[in-house]
Amino acid sequence: MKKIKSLFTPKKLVIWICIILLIFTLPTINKPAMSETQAIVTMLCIDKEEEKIKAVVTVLSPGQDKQAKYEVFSATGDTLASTVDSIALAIGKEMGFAQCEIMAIGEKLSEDNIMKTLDYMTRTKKVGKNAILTYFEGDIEEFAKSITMLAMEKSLKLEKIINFDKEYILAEDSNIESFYKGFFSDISIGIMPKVELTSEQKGNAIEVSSSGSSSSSSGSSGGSSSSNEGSSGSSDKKYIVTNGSTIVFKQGKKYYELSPSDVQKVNLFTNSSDKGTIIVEGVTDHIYDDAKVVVDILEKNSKIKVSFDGDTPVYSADVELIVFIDEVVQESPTDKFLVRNQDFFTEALIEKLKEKVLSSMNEAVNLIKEQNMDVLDIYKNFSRKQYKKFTEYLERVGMENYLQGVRFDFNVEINNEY
Amino acid sequence: MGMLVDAVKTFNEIKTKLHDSSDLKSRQVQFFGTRITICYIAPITDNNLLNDSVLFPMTSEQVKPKEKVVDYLKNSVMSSIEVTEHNTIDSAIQKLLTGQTLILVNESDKILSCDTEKITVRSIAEPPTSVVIKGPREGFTESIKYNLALIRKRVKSEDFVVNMMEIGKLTKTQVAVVYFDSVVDKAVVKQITKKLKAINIDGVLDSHYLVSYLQEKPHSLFKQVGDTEKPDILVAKMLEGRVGIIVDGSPIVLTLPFILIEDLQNSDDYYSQPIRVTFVRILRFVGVVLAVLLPGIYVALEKYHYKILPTEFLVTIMNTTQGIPFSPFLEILFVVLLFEILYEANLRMPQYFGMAMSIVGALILGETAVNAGLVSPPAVMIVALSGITFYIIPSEAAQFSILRLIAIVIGACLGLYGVLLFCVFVLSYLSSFDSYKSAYLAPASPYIENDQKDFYIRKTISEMKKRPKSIANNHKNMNRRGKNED
Amino acid sequence: MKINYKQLSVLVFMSFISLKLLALPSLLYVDSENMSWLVALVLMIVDAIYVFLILDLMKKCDEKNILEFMNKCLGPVLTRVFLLVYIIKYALVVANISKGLEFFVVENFYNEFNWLVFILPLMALIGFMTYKGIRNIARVSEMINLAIVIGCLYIAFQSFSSADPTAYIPMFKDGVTPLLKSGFNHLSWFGSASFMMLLFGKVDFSSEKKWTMIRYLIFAIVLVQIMYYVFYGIFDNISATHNFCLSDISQFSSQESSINELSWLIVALWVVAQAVQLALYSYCMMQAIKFTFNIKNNSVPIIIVMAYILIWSLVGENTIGLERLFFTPFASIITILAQYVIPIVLYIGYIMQNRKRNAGMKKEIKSVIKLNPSVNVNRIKIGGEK
Repeated sequence: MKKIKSLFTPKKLVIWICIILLIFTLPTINKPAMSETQAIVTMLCIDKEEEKIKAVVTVLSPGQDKQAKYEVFSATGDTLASTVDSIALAIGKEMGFAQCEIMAIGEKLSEDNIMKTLDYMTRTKKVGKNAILTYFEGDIEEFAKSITMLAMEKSLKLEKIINFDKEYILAEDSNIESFYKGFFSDISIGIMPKVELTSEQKGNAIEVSSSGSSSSSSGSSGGSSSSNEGSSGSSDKKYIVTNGSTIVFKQGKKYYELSPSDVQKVNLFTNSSDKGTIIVEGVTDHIYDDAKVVVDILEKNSKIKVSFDGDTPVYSADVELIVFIDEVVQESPTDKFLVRNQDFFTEALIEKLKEKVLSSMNEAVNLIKEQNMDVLDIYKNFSRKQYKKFTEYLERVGMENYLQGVRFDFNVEINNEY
Repeated sequence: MGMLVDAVKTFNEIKTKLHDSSDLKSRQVQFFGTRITICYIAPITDNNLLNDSVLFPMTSEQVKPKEKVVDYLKNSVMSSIEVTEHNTIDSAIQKLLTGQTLILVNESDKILSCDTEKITVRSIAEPPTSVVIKGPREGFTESIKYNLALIRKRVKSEDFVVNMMEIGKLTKTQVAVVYFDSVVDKAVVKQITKKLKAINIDGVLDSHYLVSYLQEKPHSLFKQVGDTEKPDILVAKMLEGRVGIIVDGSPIVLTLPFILIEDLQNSDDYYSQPIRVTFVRILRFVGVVLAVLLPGIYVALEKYHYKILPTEFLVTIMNTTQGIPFSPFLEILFVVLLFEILYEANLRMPQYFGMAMSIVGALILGETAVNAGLVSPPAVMIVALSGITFYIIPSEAAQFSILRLIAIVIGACLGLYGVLLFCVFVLSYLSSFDSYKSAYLAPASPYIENDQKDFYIRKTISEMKKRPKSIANNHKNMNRRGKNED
Repeated sequence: MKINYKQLSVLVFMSFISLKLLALPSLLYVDSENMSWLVALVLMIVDAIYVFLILDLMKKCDEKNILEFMNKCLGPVLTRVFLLVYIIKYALVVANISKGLEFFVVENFYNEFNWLVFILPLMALIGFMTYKGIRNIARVSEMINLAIVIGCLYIAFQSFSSADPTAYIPMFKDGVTPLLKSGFNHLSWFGSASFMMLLFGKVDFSSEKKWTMIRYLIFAIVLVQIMYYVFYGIFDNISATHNFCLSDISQFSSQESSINELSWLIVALWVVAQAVQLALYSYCMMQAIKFTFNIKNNSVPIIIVMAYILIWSLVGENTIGLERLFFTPFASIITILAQYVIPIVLYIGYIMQNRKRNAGMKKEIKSVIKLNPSVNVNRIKIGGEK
């Protein structure tokens, strides 16, 4: 009895546990690296194809030296889960989504509520919530291949491009996280950038020498997969365009497409994207003669104030732009000797700029009112800063019509110096 | 021993006791009619000394003695410093065995012994284990007398105490316990002396024979007894309240109590600029952590947590590990073993081979292993980094390479979670470890504010006003300078 | 095996922050929304006040352990009942931490994970640390403390500028009721100081510095509030969907540069902190079991605690369910008893007992004075107070 007792002192118990643990874990000691047993997905594109879900994944595979090599696989299935599974079955590896940096949503999929898809991917498949979310129109497989080409041949990564561009063109962070924030807010509006693949050059386009779509057949349930590796297809040029078109989602469905110029107008209200250019035409004074002037926005400070004037909600924006004159185009060049940038900064120009900015802002507001989509966080601002009055207001006019009754006050100041 | 009558008879008795050992020599001398036998053990006796202090005075003495021959010899003739009378043969033999010469006088009941010991010692040189750039270069030798001399040279205080004792049934090795009486914690000295006295062993050939007797946990992986080969380090340690144990025949002096931080301190630290030392100390701390954990974490990351790796790094790893026949665990294990083998080989090789060896080992073997596709460059890099960081730790710390192996196995079995729990386990184990009343991880835990001045930060000597509290010492008297507070 | 005052402060600090930075913020958000920080703040301040109350009690009582002290004040039956409350409290906390840790590890670090592989090494570690005692746990906490604080601050300040301050307005949108409800429902995550009750007589106050504890407490509250500010500021209306405050903040900040993914290693430090916390509460549970059932040696209670951890993760959480244990009034009531009621009762008990003793002493002194009028009354110390 004593012997048995002595086997179970805490000290010995610890040793026992370690021994049991070793028995359990030693077989796993020789398992290969995870990157060999898992397909590391870096991009995931989902769309609908004839009422079936189509998924295209870009998988990291070992390459030469420090270069990353990607392979594209696709499959279609009845549900997203079965589609992803069939890709896994086809390539004989588990799918690992932890490194997934881009998630692209296709045109047809976004006609329905995409939250189901996002939720499945983030919760079950553990796609990081900081993955970039984009919207795409066209053949999703071709898109995936082009993006892969871009990464492999030009070392340009779409997520880096989008992250950089958001300072210029996009209204918000464009990842799953911020889409969730928008979706779960009371007005349920989320936005994501649109990436286009075109055959003609326009906007901020990057050329991709697309290898064509050579063998992209895809079975429905067996999950046949295709790789773009080594296929030297036709030499038609493709361009990836990220010019700032932004898709507004309402209740998780595609609602409206903001054109690049719309986005620029909307951006005047936000601080998150503070770069851009303004072009004014027909500037005439002692320096200019019907000139076209391009100014760069160096910095933008927009102060949003919300208040109530009686029962009317007032949304006022004080926008201060610090600009730099980039280019002056006019037929007869000025004969004045001007050295400093400030010298070009005339009253007339300022007036013109103000006019332009104000009209842009008004256009943006009109668009928002017209489409009843609150991409300016008007609801959020009022509900946080004027909670009581705004709740009363909402009760009066109803949730759907709150935008119509809001009065907008703008004040623009343009400076040439810090 | 009763009345001694015949010197020859006594000599024969001694000879029998020494089992007719052939290095026992004797010589007969007539001293004013009395027959005297001089005996000594040739290899350990200094012939010149014997001649100068015994034979020459004896044979050239002109005045006939009025007192007893033995007393006359002792008091007036022999010029040796140490002349002792013995009443028993056994005590005389003890002296004979240490290199003294016995003088057996006919018709006398006493045996005289005088010091003619030949000290054979290599010259004082800089010890290879602790080379300093700037600082004292004297190192201990194998002779306890010389070693004590080296300490005494530095310490001119009545507080310095040397406690001599003999350990070893056959070797009768001299062991000295040295300390500063006013600084040391008496209980620690008592404990050490008690432990030393209790040692029952045939022989002590090196100070490391004593280590396992002095350790509080003899089976532990971690070092619990400090050692040094330099008198300046020993004195510095004693000034902080430690006890030194010097063993005859060993140039390594043991110090107690020992705490982990000592492995990360170097005597050079105190001879160079504090800011640089602080930087080096931090480097050492980071180095230890890296050295122990890096390969384990690498295996864990590769096997279980690729999502923690940045994609770019993941690409590099994937590209370089493709086609490697081994699993990450075996790969790392292979490189670690390779490294350990090279290290051992390098250590045992003569210096001129060593140089060639390290080039062949590190460069060629590593390079060809990578080219042959046996291991991947990141694995070699990780292990090399971990291996190199071992050498920024001043003393040879064998425990860390064992810990590294354990971390690799755990990393392969359980992943990062296992490695983290392993860290907690090691910390917890070390926290429960007290060496002679001093906490092993002090001054980190328990946190001792006073001793932070000589931890990862080293302040200037003038700022370290108090002796460290991490080490059990006489807490009544903490001031290093100025008047003693009591 | 005493711990010193500084180590006690560190233990209190760690227990103040450890449970608060994982699941709690998202749970609080469900009821109290953007005012959750206030709920946490108020409850932490209450806890802090109790720290000083218990500390005072610890200093005053000369008894070797809590059992003797309670026995004297309240009698053996009530003592046992109170200790039973503590056993339940610690059992709940241990279950909570181990479950939270498992969730944290599996969600953040592994794709698939065998629960046995999770629980066995943890059990071994807990067994070892509880066996080595409170001093060991305190020393380990002391060592990892700084690294954890720096790690938390690093993670918080990386995302600090992204936090939206308007997420905090309007305040008290729906009045105070949701806050009270939220506070009561999640009370079992608080009550961090209750572990001190089991440490009576085990703290060495000789090195006490007046501000040590206050400093640690203030820093703990500030640290938690900074983390909450960042958490609610960046996740705003979707805070409730983020299960792990610390790791989710660290991942939020890794959006733009991929090297930040290495902040996982900092997050991993949290596993260490949680393991040490688990050891602390297991130790408390073990002590409570030991006192309640009068067990002389440590081995049996340690084995009981280890078995409890194993059985809990084997059957408990599947059949009973963590939620049903934790998010019910039961857990809150236990916490109220263990953390808020019993210390007060003990304190009152102490004062009453002291008064009795003083009265007795005064009588004695009077009789002494009667017998011997030359005694200087001022020099006789009145009992109890040192």
